[in-house]
Amino acid sequence: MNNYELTLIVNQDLESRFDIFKESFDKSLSEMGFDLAFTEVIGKRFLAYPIQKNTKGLYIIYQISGSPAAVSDLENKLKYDNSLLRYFLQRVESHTLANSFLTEDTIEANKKAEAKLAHKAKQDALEVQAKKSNEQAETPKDVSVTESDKELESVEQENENSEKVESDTYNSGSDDNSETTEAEAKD
Amino acid sequence: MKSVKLPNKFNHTNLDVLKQFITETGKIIPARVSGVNAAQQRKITQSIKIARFLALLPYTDQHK
Repeated sequence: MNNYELTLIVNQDLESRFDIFKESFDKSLSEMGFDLAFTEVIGKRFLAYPIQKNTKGLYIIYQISGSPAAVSDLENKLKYDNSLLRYFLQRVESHTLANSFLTEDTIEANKKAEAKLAHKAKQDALEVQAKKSNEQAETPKDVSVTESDKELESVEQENENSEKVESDTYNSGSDDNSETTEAEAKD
Repeated sequence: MKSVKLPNKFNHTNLDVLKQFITETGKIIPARVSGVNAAQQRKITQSIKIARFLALLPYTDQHK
């Protein structure tokens, strides 16, 4: 009897039927003569790079022990299992009977993703509100656009242009302060 | 020398540890830069390569 660690990445399409898949896999493992010491269900994780155009995968880590003959059976089964993106079978000295760092990491990542979604939803709601209030404020204004308003706008545009010139000189890294002062003097 | 935190026991799942030993582009940092000893470096490289295979760490920053 040797100790093994088996990591599976299951296709994310199986998420809804994940429990059924896991049960049947557990069963086939014990039928092959493996003892399940510990099972860590990590769940859905973002893959560091796409595998067969999948960006997410469901991770499980099995701590099992069995005979080398059973292992070749298992590898045969894993090789032709279409629901798996990857598998990794490793012989270990002793089983680790606790959750790995991955579970913690995945929970944290999921929390962050949720927070991001919530933040986005909030911002969207705020934008919608702002749009509504703008529309209400703008409708009377559009009617009463006088010449003085137009003049104001043109002045503002000129101001903006001069500001752009200043920022450009800063960005280019030129140390000539004279240019900026000239631009200011012209205005 | 970079100051790194290396626990006594770690494997390919300890991404917080392994991420100290890859560059922004995903390369493994040499021991002469990180300052770990040869035995530690062998363990780190092995773990990073397994983590890459399991899509826990990137091979490069240019994955599509």
